[in-house]
Amino acid sequence: MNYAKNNPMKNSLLIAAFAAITILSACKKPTEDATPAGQYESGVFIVNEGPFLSGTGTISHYNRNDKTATNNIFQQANIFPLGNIVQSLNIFNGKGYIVVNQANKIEVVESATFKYTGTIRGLDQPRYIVPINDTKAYVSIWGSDGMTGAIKVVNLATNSVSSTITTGRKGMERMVKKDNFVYATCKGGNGNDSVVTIINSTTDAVLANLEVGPNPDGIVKDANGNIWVLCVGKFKSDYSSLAQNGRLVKINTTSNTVETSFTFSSIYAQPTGLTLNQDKTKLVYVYDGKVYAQDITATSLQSTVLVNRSFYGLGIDPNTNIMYGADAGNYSSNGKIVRFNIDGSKIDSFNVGVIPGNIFFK
Amino acid sequence: MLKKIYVLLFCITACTSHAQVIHPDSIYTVEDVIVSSNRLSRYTTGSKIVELDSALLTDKNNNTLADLLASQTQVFVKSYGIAGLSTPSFRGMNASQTAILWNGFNISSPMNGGQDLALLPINFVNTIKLQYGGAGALWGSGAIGGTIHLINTPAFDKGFTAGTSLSTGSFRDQQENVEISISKKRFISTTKFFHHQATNNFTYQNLAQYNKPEQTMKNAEFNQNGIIQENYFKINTAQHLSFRFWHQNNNRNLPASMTTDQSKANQKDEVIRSTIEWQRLKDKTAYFVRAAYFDETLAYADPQISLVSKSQSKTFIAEAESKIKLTDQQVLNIGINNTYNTAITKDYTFTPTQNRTSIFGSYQVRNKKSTLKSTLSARQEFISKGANPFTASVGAEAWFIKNIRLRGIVSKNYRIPTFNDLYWAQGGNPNLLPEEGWSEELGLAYFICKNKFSLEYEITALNSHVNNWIMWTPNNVGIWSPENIAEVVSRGLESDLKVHGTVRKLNMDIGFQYQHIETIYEKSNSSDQSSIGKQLIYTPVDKALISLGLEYRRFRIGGTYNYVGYRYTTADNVQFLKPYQLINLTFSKTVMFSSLLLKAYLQINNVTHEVYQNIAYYATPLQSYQVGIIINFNQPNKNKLNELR
Repeated sequence: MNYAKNNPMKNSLLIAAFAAITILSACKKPTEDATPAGQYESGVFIVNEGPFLSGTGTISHYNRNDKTATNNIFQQANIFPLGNIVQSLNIFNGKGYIVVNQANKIEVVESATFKYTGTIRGLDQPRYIVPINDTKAYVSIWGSDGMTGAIKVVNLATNSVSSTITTGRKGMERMVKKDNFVYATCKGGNGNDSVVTIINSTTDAVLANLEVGPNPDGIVKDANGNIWVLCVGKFKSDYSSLAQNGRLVKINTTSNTVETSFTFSSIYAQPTGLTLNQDKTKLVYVYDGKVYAQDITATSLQSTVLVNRSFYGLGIDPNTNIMYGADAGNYSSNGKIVRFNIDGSKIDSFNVGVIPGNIFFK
Repeated sequence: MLKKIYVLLFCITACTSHAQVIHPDSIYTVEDVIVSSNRLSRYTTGSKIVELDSALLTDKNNNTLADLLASQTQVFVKSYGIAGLSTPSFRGMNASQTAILWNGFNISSPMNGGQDLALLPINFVNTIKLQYGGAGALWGSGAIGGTIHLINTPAFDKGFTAGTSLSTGSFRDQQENVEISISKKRFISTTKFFHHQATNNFTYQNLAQYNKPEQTMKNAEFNQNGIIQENYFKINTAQHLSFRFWHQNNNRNLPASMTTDQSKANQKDEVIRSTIEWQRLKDKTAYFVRAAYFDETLAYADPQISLVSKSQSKTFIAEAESKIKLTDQQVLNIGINNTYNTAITKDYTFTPTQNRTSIFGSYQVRNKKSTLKSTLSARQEFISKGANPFTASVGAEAWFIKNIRLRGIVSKNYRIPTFNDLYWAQGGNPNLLPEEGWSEELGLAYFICKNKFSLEYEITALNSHVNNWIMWTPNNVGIWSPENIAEVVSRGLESDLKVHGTVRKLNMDIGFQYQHIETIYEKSNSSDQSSIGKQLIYTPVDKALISLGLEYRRFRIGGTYNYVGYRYTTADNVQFLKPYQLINLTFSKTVMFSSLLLKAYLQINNVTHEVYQNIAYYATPLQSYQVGIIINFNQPNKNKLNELR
């Protein structure tokens, strides 16, 4: 009798107690990492170099669907920071490779969660990493003095350097792979240089050092399989103006020769941030305070202004054709990404870390 | 004799400000002694001046000015690692807005506008005074946040003195000082040498690596050598001549931060500072004619970025001033200063020169009882290339019912752009204007001065405005260049308590200082507005210092507790460093024989093993120690001995 009477009472007490516990435990960790597994499966990754001198760079993630940005995702997942001047990020084979220039290392993470899995050391001033195959990647370095560029061949299975491709050139920078060849710009490091080094990625042998122009930086492969290189120009020794202006150069990848070379007119402004639109028919870059677009078939430098402002970094999402401009602000505060349609009309913006530079789309 | 000096040295002069009021008649504070900094001793009415205790200076004899200011004063010292570049910040202002004066001469570098406090040894000067707030009308460019006065004070007829101090400490720190002094009735020659070196190979936890491994600090070694020679001549009762010569070289490696892999950077500095001064002190007038020559060379090498940077700067200063006692209650001071700077470096496209001429004057008036005092000062500077800044200040102090003092000062101050700001290749901006602004402060002090007990409490409210604040930012083509960008306001409160008491043979000093000063970007011309309304980076709002000294039969225990509040590391105040607390202790025992003084001491720094960062990701040592011995021999002059007999 009593049993029947008391039972619902007991139950409701139990439920109330249970609810209280659930609420309490929910309250305990209001900001606890609610990261669903694989949160970083896809999206846009922004590489924030971080403050100069002693600070640390960060990685921001932008979710295309709910249009939200999460900052500092590496430290959130791993407690420790990345280190000084985070230069670039590449994601392949399910792993994220974060190149930290002044820390002379690459941090390797699970790309879906950004959980730490290892560190590649033995790299002097590393810049960029490109995959060659499942177990091998190339890392461009400036060398311990910033004047002895090289490619480090990395074993991805052991996260270690297996060999060095010495090139005798300065400031090995960005790389593009076409078939079995890697084209690497030699930006000059702490000096000046003027070539694109072509390497056979099967044999790791240097095929050629192709003269392109003063301090080549950006390099992309267009819809026709040709390679475009943006040379930023070379300053006079007193930095009063450019001794050699910037150039946009097309490499014929069949003959591995310079097919076209356009020279910029300004003796002060340096072109930067070379990227391609979605169908890889338009070259987009930053020059003299503006963002310009150029058809890959054009026979001279076009003056098509997309956006009337400058960016520290620039990227176009190959999935959506939306342009991402990295605004570093005052270089000592958090920067932001401004999104534009490919016609230059502004969409929106979101905040990222300090000095956003390179942008990676996945 | 020596005992007397010793007692004088260790007697805490809590009532000095009062004492000045009681004996205001002479136009120099102490008669028959060379006036080492004329304007400091008389025309700073209304300013807050803190003299560092002489007992403290002997305790910290083997430290640098950076260590001393960081641990014993409310000045915030920004340090890049254990022996790295250390710069002062007064009341939220930066290093180039602080004037550093050596016997009245501004020793700030014309290239960067500052001086590295880690390179200034304490034992080369006798007195250190900190003048808080703006004093541009007295000292010219740079005296915005505060002024550090390093003073050599000669004393005639003290006989022959020879002294040495030797110390050793953690991380292979070792220092040797030697001093030889001959002090006759009309002539003094003092020579001091020092050598200081350390490897600084302390262990720390690297917070910027996976699993936070323990590591040993690398590339932090330094070696310093210096000599200072001082000569003073008493020409007659009124006239004095003085020469000072300071040569020092420093060789140090600059360590990496935790977020960078390694550093191979090295910096070598060499400096020569020489001054000459003639003074004529009479009852109604005093004349001062002085000149200085400073030569600084710096060689910085960083093999990792293939950088070798050499520079040399030279400064010639000539100054004349005269003090005239108009009536018993009015004094006038007028003077002229010419400063010539040049710098030779490949970092500039040419060799810049700068000639600056200033005329300055101060007028002080007081009532008969000296309970009311006011000083009006003005300075007009003419710069060979650039603006002609005019500054002025008016300060006053008033005593009420004998133990309450109200003081205040309003000043207009400025800081001219440095050579680096103007001429750096690339980016230097020759069109920069001086930073300038107004400062106001008001202090209310209360004194108790009894036989065996004294107390001094002061609360200061301050407000300071700086326009045309110079900042380096990238321009629209990506080249970093300085611009007159911001308007900065600093305002806050300082609270200072000093207590001294004697119980039987136990002497006790307690100090408690606290400051809350907000230094905010009020406006900015730049398109980026993310820092508006935000606190300046690396500038703590809150800072506190508790100091305690106990002395019994020449056994002394000194302790300090420092609290440094939050400091932001990004201009939008999103990133910050947590507060830290440091406790330092010193134990010393002095033994005196007839002409010999022996002192042994033990210094323990960071007693509680506090893990902290002064600059983001620069490691700092945990507990460290220094032990040392000081030996001082004094043989009084023969005639003096006769007099004593």
